[in-house]
This record gives sequence, C-alpha cells and structure tokens, in this order.
Amino acid sequence: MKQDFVPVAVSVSYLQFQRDRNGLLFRKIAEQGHYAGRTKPTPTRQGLYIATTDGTLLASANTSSAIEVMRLMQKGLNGWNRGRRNSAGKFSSPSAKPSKNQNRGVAFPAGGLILRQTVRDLPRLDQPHHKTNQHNFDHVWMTPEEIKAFAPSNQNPGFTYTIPEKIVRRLVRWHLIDQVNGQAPSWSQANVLNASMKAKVTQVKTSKSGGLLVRVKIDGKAKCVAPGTGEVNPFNNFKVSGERGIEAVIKGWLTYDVEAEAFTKFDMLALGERWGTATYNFRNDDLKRSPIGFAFELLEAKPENKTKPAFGRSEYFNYQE
Amino acid sequence: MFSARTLLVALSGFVFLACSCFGQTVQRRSGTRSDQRQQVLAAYHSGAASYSDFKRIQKFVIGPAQKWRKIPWVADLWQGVEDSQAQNKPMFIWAMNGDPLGCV
Repeated sequence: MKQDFVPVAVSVSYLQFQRDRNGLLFRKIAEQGHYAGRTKPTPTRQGLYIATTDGTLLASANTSSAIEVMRLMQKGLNGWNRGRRNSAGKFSSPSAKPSKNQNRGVAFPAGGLILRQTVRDLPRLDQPHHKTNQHNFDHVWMTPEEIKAFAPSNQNPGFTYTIPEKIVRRLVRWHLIDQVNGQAPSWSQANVLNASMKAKVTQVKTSKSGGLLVRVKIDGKAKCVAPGTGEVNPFNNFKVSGERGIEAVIKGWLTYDVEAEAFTKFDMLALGERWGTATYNFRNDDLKRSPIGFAFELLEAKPENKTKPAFGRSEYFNYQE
Repeated sequence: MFSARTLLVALSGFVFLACSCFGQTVQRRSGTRSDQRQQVLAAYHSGAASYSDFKRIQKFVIGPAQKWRKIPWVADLWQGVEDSQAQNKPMFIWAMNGDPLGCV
C-alpha cells in the first residue's frame, strides 16, 4: 500500500457536503465513481477511491472483499501507469476555499488521556454459531481532571473511593453504545438510568525508578434505555418502534504511577447485554437481549492516536447536556 | 450496504495478501474456536470476577492485531494531495461514514 499509494483515510460524513477545497475535490472524485448521483437509499459516497491530485478518478468501489480491493488497486495503478498521473497539478476550483480544520468538534485536552475502545458481540449460550467477528472501534478522551478522579489519593491497599457519577455518566453516554454492526446514536442524560464506578487499591509495588506503582480495581454498573424513534431504515425498511438499551457491569484493572502522576495501564471492560436496534446499527433481526463486550485500553497520546471520538462534538466534555 | 467495519476487514485482508499469508489470516479472522468461545462464555457468566477471566474476555473483545493500523494513513484529504504530489504516487482514499481510523 505505502509503496504505490498515498493512503488517505477520511470521513465522508462532512466531506461529501462541505464547501472547502477538500469537499469540492472529494465530490469531483466521488461523482466519477461507484455512487455517482446516488440519492437513495442514502446519498453516501463512502468507499475506496484511487485518484490523482487534480481529481481524476482511476478506480473506485465500495467493497468488503479483499480480492476486490486488490483488483481495485491494480486497476488504479494501471491507470496511473498509462499516464494519468499528477501532471495536471493540484485540484483547483474558483469556489474552492482553503480547507477548514477537518477535526471538527472538540479538541483533544492538553494533558488528557486516550483509550482505544473495541466493541464486539460475545458468544451466546442459546446461539452457539452466532458470529462474533464483527466489531467496531472508538477513542475515549479524558481530561486531566478526570484522570485525577480515577487516580488513588491514598496508596494503602484496601483504600476505596468513588468515581464521580458525572464522569461515569459522560463515559457511558458517549461510549457504551451498540455500534458492532453500524452506527447508533449516543444516549441522552435521560436515557442513562445507572452509571456508577468504585475503585479499590489492591496492591502497591515499587517501580524501576523507585516510585510507587499502585494497582487499582474498578467495579461499576451502567444501564441506558432509549425509546423507539419511529425512524425507518432506508436499506431494509425496518421501523425502529421498540426501545433499545444496554445494561452492563464495568470491570477494570488500572496501574497508577504516583511519581509520574499518570496511568501506565488502563484496562477496562464493560460486559452485559444490549437489546433493540437503532436506525443504522442493523440489529433489526437481533432485537433480543444478547451479550456484548466493550474493551478499553490505554493509547499513547501521539498524533496518530488522536482520532476524534465518534461523538466528539462540542458537548462531549459537557456534564450537563 | 454492508457494514462499514467490514471494509476494515477487507483492507486488512489486502495487507495480509500482500504479505503472502492470506490463507492463514482468513482462518484466524473467520471466527473463534469453540473452546475459546466456551471459556469466554464461562468468564462472562462469572462476571469477569477473577483477573484471568477479565484478561480472557479482554483478549476476545480486542481480537487479533489489526495490521491495517500499520499503514501510515493521512487523515486529511488535502494533506494527501500534497503528499501525492511530493511522492509522485496516486492517492488511495478510504472514505467512510464515520472516521475510518475510529468509529464507522
């Protein structure tokens, strides 16, 4: 991939509508491709595109097949090698304005923490052949104040403390969402019926530098329920009339470096059941309560790890809204 | 429409193909062994009470290493244009509803 292409990963959610040069270039490319002119069932232009810098499309597809991705790449390279190169220069348009910051919404908080979230169905007792290979990711951002709330103020084994409910609610609202098969809305404050976490110091060790490493166990609970929206999925015409929900226990094992005032491990799980469907998470034939797992692990706060949370809008860090 | 996340699988599949280990990878990705499922089920029903149960479920949920993450994706289209000009290569644009490097 990196030998023959410049790999670009972008969200079309804004790109296919925005009026800056990024949006205009993307639409020029997309309107030569597999979803050109499409309005139904949705106007999405998602997929894979191979293009030159002036917006000439070399190949495109929206495919889940590895073989087809390979064919697409070969087709793109063939077009490139036939002379359809970047010689026409960069895309330009009279109405093209410099690109706005694509990282819309909330900014990563200085001194904050990033967790990678993975969500996946767990095996089912009553459906031994239920597939569990579908999964999804997200990133959790936490502020320095929230990190402090998780950090033990007393390092004695057995010391227990409560994580403020407003922080747990925030994490639950934006992150304990059944996105295994597709997108689902976040929970409103009213949807959150339970969100609690307690922490307990279980062990203290000396680090290589002579500081203290404190091991903390997390136990918590969460429950969220949202009523049916009445929306209809345009792909399968399923009307979302029933409620959707999630009920989970939260378990975690964290390690806090007292000297560095930072977590060196932040392993957390939310395990429980989801039920119902949202418009676009494709659970319409899987409405019953069934087990789901969310795993959270610490990521280094490097630029490549700072992909915004799915719901990283202005209200992401707001405890009230 | 297929789930957007499956595209990740496709891209991962390509990377693996390029590494000439497609067969093994497909086998690894195509599901979990029944004994692993049983262990995860048992750990789940215990409420991940022990650390070993916790680790077992964590490993299952996180899944195998995601090789597509090793690709140096550029997260801005115009930066892709600049890089494409500088490196004299075409752009490979992975465009999804949601962020391909995060939640799709």
